Amino acid sequence: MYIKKKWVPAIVFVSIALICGFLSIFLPWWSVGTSPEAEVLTNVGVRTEYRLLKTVLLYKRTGNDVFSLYLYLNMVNVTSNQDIFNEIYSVFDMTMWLQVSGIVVGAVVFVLAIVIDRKKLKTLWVIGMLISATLVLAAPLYFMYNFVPSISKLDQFTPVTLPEEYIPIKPANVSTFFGNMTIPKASTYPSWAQGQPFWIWGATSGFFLALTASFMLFASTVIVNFALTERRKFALS
Amino acid sequence: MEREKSPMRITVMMFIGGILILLNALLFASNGGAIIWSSSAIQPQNLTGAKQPLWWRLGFGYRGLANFTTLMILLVAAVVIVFSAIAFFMKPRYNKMLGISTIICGIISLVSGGGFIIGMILAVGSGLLALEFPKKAEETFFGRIYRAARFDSSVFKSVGDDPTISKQAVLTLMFVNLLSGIGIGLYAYNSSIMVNNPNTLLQRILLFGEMRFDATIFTPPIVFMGIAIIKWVILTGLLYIAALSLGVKTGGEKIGRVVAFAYAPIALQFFIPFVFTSDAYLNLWPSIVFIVTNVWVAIILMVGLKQIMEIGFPKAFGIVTSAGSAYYLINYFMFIKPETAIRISRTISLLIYPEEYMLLGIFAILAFGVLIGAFTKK
Repeated sequence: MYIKKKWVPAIVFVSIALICGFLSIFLPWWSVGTSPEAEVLTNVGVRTEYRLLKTVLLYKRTGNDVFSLYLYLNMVNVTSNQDIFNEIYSVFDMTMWLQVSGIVVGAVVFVLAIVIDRKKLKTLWVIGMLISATLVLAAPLYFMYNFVPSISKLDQFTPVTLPEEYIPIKPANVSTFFGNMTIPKASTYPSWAQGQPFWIWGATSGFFLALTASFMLFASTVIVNFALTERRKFALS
Repeated sequence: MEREKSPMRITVMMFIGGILILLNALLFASNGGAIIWSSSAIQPQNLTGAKQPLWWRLGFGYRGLANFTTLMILLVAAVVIVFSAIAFFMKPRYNKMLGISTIICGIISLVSGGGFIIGMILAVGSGLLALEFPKKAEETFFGRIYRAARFDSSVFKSVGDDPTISKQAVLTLMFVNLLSGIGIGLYAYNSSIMVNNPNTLLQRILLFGEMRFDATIFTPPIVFMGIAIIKWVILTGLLYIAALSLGVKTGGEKIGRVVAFAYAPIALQFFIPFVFTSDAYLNLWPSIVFIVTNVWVAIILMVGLKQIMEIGFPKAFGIVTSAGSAYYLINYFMFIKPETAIRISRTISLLIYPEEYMLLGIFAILAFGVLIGAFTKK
């Protein structure tokens, strides 16, 4: 009973890490949308979110948070150009592969750590967790360096008509993973908005959750080590 | 020394704090900036003007810091707190290291809103408790501040009787005034910026959670810590004289320790800059916080003095209100009244104007004291 109690914190910690990694698959990894300034100025907000499951969520909402458009698209509908599609598809495929394999390795290693009662496997378990954490970390890093070059080749982010007062944006304008497009200083917009972002793009919840999962998996190697040390001490006593 | 039986309580506090900070950081990250909750949707032109209705917003996080590097630091900080919680439960002997890391990460989390404030309070509080583990939580530095703030009279018994707590009392005074000074400094600086830039920065601060700061915002915390000692001595002296004149004999040192711990609610002034209102009401929010925290301090003092002097509530009321009135008047002329006060930049204070109202208020409180028999020597 004592051993089990000592294992509970480790189980909780690694479970949270694995749940974070798992959830990140379903959440958006990158988005491009209007800034809060643009939404106040035009009373309309637009956002396009890209997910690992090769889907794109597009929504448009008014100032009162009423959604005038809420559209789930498959990546196939984003472009008709097969080469660009293949390139984007491969980035998502590779990221997904890294992420899922990291979670699976972590889950298997952790189940082994609980089920198999052998002290000598400790090193193997710690190495297993490190591999899992590295794979989960590699997924967002790979995505970060390969997504923008492929997405910038698209003709448009949003297959919808944008309000006329919007500052136009083209995927070619996006050259970095995080960034924004500002309202020109000499524009008709009020002075408080000039120089402030109109469009903002960058990583979002899924991407950050994947990074969190990897940090937690790295930290879990220490936790697993703690739990095993306690177990050995108990066995010796 | 009483010992804490299990690290569970601190672990749970750390864990919940870490999870809240993580959720706040993730929301901050996906939002690309500050998380703003406002009383209603508003057009920028309606933010200024005396005739506009009251509008307020609660902001979590500093917008300009929502970049990749900061976000990574925030996520790591949240993970470190959750990790510390688990590690502390398994290896409580590493309490110092884990406590310090939790406190540092809790403070860092302020950039994204401090886990909706609650997360940061839990992280810093549990970190402070962990530092003194296995000492019983109630007897620690943080435990005593917390108990004093919730009117736990038993804390004043130990505070009054134990002269070794004097050091902790001075630390409390410094800590509380440091937090209060930071909050007031930030609010005063951003308010003045809004008033001076009604067409540019006012909208950015109110609607989008921008927060401006420069070196001058550190003036109030430094000055407040210095002045705190002077105010502490004055209030202790006045309470001592009031107690003697009402026939209560007690040690001045005892009163001093109680006064220091009674200052605990002033720390809440740290959270003033989380809320801003439309420009016509900029004075309203800090005034509310000032009144609530100072009344809170007065009630704690009554509870504390009642305990250490072994007197009834009316007498405690009499001592606190008579000494408190004199203290307020001294404070008013020394640090508040524009014509006579020592000038401190980037600060705000509660100015009751016209002065007749202030005197009327003092008179009403003292008259109430007379009615309940607070000033009799029996």
